[in-house]
Amino acid sequence: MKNSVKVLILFIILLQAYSCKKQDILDAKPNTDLNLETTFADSARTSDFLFGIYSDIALDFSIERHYSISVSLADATDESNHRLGGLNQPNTVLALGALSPANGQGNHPYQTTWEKSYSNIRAANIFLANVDSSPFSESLKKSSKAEARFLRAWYYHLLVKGFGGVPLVGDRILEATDIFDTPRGSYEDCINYIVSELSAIENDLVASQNSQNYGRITSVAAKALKSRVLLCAASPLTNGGNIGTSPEQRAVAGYQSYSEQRWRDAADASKEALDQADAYGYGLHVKHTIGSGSSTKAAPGYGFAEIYTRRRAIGTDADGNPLKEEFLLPGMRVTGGNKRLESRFLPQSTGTSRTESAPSHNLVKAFGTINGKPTSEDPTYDPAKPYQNRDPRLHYTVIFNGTPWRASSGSSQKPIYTYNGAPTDGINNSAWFTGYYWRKMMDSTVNSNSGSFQRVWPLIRYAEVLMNYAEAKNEIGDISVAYDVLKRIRKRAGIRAGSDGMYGLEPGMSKEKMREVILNERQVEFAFESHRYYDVRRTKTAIKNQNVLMTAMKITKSGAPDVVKATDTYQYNEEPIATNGQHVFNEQNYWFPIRQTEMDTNPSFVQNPGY
Amino acid sequence: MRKYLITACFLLICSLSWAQQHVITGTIVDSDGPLPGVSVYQKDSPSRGTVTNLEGKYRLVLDKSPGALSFSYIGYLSQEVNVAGRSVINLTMMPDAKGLEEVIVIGYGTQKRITNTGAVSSISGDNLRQSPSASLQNSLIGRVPGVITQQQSGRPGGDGAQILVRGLSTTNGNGAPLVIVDDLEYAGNIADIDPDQIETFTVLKDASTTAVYGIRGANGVIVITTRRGKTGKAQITVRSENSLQQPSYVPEYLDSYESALLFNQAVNNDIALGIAPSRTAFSDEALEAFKNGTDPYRYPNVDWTDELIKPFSLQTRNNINVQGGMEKAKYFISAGYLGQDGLIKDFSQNSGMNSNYYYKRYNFRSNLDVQPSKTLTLNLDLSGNFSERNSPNNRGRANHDNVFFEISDMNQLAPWAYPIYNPDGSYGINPGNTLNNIVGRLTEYGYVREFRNDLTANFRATQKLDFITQGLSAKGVVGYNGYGGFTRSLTRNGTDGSDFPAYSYDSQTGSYTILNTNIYRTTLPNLSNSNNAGTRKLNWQASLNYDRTFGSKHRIYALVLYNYLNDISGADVPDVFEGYTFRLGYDYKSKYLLELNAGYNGTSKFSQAERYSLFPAISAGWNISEEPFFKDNIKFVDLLKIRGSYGLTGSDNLSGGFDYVYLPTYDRSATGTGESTWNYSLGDTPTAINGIRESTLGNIVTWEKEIQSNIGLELRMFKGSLNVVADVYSRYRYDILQERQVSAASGISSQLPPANIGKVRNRGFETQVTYNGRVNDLNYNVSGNISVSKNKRVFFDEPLKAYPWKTLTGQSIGSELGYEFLGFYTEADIADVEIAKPSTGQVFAGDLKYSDLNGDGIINADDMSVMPYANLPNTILGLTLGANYKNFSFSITAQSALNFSLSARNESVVVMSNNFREIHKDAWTPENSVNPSFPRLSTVANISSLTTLSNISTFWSRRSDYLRIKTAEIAYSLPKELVGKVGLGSARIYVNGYNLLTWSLKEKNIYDIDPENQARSTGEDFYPQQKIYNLGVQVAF
Repeated sequence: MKNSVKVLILFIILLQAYSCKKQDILDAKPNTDLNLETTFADSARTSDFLFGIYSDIALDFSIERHYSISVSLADATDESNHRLGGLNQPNTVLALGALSPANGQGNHPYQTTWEKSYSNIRAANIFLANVDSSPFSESLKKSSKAEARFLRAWYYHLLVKGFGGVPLVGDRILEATDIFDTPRGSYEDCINYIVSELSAIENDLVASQNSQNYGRITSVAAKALKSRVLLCAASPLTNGGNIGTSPEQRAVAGYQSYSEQRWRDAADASKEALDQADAYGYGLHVKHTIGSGSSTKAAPGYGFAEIYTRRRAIGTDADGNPLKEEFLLPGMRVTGGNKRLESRFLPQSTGTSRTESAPSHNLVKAFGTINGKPTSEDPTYDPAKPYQNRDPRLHYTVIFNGTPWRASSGSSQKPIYTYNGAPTDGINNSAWFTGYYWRKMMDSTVNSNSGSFQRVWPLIRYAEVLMNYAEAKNEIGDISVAYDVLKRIRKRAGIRAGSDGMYGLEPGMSKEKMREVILNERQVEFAFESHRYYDVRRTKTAIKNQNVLMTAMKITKSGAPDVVKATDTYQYNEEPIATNGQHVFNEQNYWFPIRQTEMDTNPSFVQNPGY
Repeated sequence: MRKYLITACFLLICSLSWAQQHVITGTIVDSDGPLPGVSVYQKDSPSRGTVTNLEGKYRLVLDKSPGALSFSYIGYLSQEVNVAGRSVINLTMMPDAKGLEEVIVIGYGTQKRITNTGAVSSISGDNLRQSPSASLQNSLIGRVPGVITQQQSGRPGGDGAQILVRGLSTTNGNGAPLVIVDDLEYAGNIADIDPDQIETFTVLKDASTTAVYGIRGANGVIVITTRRGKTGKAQITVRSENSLQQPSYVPEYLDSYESALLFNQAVNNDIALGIAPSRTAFSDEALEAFKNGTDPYRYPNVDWTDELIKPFSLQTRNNINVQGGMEKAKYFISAGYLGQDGLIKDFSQNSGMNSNYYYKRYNFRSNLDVQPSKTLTLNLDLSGNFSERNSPNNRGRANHDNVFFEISDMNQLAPWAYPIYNPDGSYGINPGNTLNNIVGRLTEYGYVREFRNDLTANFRATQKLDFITQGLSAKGVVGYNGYGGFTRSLTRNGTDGSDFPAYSYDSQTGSYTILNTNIYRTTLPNLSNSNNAGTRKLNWQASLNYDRTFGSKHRIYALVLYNYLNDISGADVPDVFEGYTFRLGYDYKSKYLLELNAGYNGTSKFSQAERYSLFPAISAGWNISEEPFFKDNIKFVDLLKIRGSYGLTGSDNLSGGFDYVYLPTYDRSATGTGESTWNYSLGDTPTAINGIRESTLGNIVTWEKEIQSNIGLELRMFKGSLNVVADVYSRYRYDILQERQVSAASGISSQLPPANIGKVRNRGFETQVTYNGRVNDLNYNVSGNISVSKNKRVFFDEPLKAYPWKTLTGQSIGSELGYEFLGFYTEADIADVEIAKPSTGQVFAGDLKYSDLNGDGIINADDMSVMPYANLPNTILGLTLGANYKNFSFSITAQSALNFSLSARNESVVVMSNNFREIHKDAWTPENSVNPSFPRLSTVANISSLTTLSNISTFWSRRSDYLRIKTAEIAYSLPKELVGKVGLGSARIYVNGYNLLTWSLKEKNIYDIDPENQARSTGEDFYPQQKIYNLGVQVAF
């Protein structure tokens, strides 16, 4: 009996022992301490959160797109063809006009833009809602809020360029349990929102960042983006050329009718951006020599190539003037990303490369001669020597037969041969080959194995705002401004002024003729910079210029195929690209479709016209 | 630590006490004569007990004040006799026709069957041991109503069936029931429990029986109790079994000649239709050579199934157990070995790097019961198993690295692929092959060997507290259960699959060409090791139990239990569970029964606010047969009981990533320069910045809940001969955790945590009818059961579908979309523009014709509708017949699964991908266009080919009902006189089998694989299910 009492007492103690620990027995010990509170309680983490939003800034830029979805916007136009030709490849879906709301995640080239833009818009809203509680200084709070609002406007601009009017979520931060039923905003509302946001932040931003902060948003970038957005809004597709059929579609696919005021607004915004840029040391980088000191050699238009091969313009030019900074919005790459172009686009004889895409002969044909004339109009052009006397920008945009490049080993340069039968790089070696390789933004002293320089992506260039200005002014009848701009651009490109000082421009062009010249100049100046895709759409010319047979340059060399001799002769034949040579553009392709799964999850969405 | 010490003290403090002795003897009989095996014990001191011997005699040493003796035997009514100075007590035992004494296991205790009010089914360890299957759960199939199983593989060490109690009622997690072994949650695989150790196997099915497990009970609970020692001499039982295993469906393919004919048929079909064939036809010369076998090196004809697979493989199982005990201590000790050999021929046995599939498992258990005082019982159970699972380092095709897949793969192992050996004895190969010679690989490439150790220690103490109040007792349990393991891999260097030389032999020139010019000799093997994440479960329980009958009318019983479980697995956040269990029951003369059960549980998986909940259940029963009006009038009915239960249960068995979803998280991108990370870089001189981003959002969620109701009927008639148990149930699972579907424009579509939104309804019934009869010396029994469980997704966050037939809401879990097969296109159909055609690709006569549900004249994804059957059967039928005559006994169990479909993918019938089978001979041709078995053969993918999942249709996904002889046994017990002469207690010889015969809907089983196979497997895990023929001997000393 006594024993039993003892046992009972012990048992009660035992129960006690269990129950007294109950308090936090079930509290989880999470594996990470990173969350909303800890992020915004610390100034370093707060700015890291902001840079998380920055990090997708180049998501629509061709080279970035190669990483996430194997398609660059260049391959979706007449600029180039991608190496993957399968019908389900995202680039093929775009180039062959096969876009459909039913495209799956994998071959949905625009879904990334939709998803990533919106997740960054949400992140910007989280930042804006919480930065005030962070230990940032008041001035940093002000400027970083402006940066977040710029980024939010930037992601909206990517959406609007591709989809038209999109849902405007404002400052709202959705909770996990919220129902999302926001309908698409009208095109007009979206443009107004972006423009008003950009106008609102201009004064909170510096015009030029110091050495440590280079890469952060400036007021010049905000003004330049406004120029781009207003130009886009004033362009034919949305300014009078609305392809929507129902009232709902017309609201998301553009303005109801034409208004010249939109061109004026675009011109004013561009002028404003240019004026401020000029005041703070931005401008075209003009340089016509290469090398330094005694090894200096003449290289017309070299400034056009050099801007891509450095991180920032620092120092002075040969005349002792400060170097002009051409990138108004640089997309900042981390050091290791600097071999992206070399490892993905150079021909395979130069080192490890996948040679993702190859420029077409269509693009090469868009380049005129060194006299600024189309090849057909310039007697100095010799079809038997098609790469001589050309616009110097051609040499800095594509590699063609005989272009010297740093060899895969050693530091010397060797010519790259693309003629039919040439070892490794010859046109015969793969179906998608065009006889050309990309060279834009690369330097012949660097290949994927060796050599290096720092680079950033040219998200907005001074030249673009100039061209925006020219285009908008031309549309309101101020053609002389267009002439002035084109001369400036061509002069920097190394084109000869000619005896009349017109840089090959035909005098007395009409507005319509000038419009074509400007579009062609944009194709040449901005090749591979993700402009062409949107330019042919906003100008509503894609149906004419994107239903196109893509061609390659087949070069036939005399003599043994694997040995090149000075005595060899070459024959040049333009031929269709073997795989997906015929590009297709249907009217609905002016806009991306909203993916079906999105339509399903938000019944208030209106599908874009034609899908 | 404190807890351990306290418990240890608690158990040690109890001292032993001894008293003076008194001897009593007697003989126990029933109406037929002496009754061996009756347990006799002193009522106040159950440790003083024995069992009667073969002559029904017993002898027992009692203490000074013996009080009453208790006599009990299964199937007989227990009796108590006051000793009162007697030294001889003889007794006649009366059969328990009403089952009054029958006890069943329930959660945290036992209950008499007559007063039980919940839905419970059980099977005894003896019955489980009638099946030779290596995995425990395979032995229940067809025998336990309410259990739905699917055995998807026959791989040694992986042939355990998936097991579900009353079907599936969740879309989250696998719906597997909770497994409790001797009060502890079991961490290992149920398949690894040795049936030799099992006393009872019980399935708790309704809310009243599972509510005590609260948050973990909703998927049903399996409660296993293990065998324990009995007072008496040590009894040693040795069992040895040797079995032959054979695939239930042997993979059979056509020979080179017939395959080549079909190959050419496919090529010629294409040419005739103007399609560019993707392959080149065999020449007439090749066909001739295939037919005559004239040039086996140039034109091989290899039956790979024959060459690589043994007709039979061996399985061995040996057990020894010892049980016995004295008054104060009893023991049951068991050790077992299971060896399961693989089906691959022994290519590597001599190379010392056995690469065949095999499984070896050593099980042990030691259950000790100690009674330090009259009122205190201690149990110390130690058990474990050590296993070793081997598979070849085949290094086959990526994602399909499996010998059985390769045998089916025409691109690697067509019958004409390559000769195994060249004339000079070297390995043969065809230069076109990307993989080296398979026999060479199986011989040279070594193995992957998984080792795993499971250990369970279970320490229990039960203290009777009758001195406080009669019928009260307390119990404490400390349990450890865990496993750990590692994998050892032995293989040759290199990754290109050519680490030994193989030559292609040119029979015309007699020259040999090596496959890989860099490999002229076999490389050296090397070993590697990886550790598998282990698990450790620590479980503490303390309970008070009360059971007392007042005035032989009012019985009140109650249980209060505290349970704490800490589950650590690998690097995961520990999973902590805490719960209180309550039970309160009342019955009046075993006539009116009422029971309340409740679990109050919390789990660390959820936020503080949502962590604890009460899971109550109520049940009631009425033994109509105990009412005087019934008892006096309907005498042939022994028992008639109606019972019902209603209650709430929960499940925290969530899919992997769903724990701790209430915590919102942020991520920082990895340091480095990765392409898709959120890195940025600022400054004139680059400074890398690792951005921070919002990751998964937090959501205050909670566990799944299920309302269960059950109505049951139990009937026992003709002195216990006929037994009927029937149950109807309804389960409504709600708050199922699912991720919502939200437009990406919300910015959170990829960051959404799950929400408690899913709802599933599951209704069904089960019935078991058992009849025991006797004709002279022949005892026989028949038992049949039906289990039906139909589930329906009442709600899940399904985006609005363009067409109603694509909606999965309202359909059963696992339903899939597919085309509806109408027949084969004819020439006339093709010409008729009114008849719908696929939107992509060309279509020709002989292709599969599907219905155009939306009537737009185009067959595309819009026409895919919910197919009638899911992969999980909703009806299981079982029938067991048993008989014994003198020394012979016999039993057979047949099982059938109904209303489910099978759609295989690889390792099956895909033309130009899989090897040709018999069915392809009956493919559509212009001559064989009336009801062919297979569409037009073609070398290019089209609407008729199963190459992509988007082509799934009711032609490919077919109802796959089957009937099986699951187990059968014939046993002979050697006459006692005979075995007694050689000093044995008993000896029994038996033959039994598993999966012996299968009848499936033959014309439906176009894949010619076992109907239980997993649907849509990519072939990576495919291993044929096995039949087992077994010979066993059991000897007791």
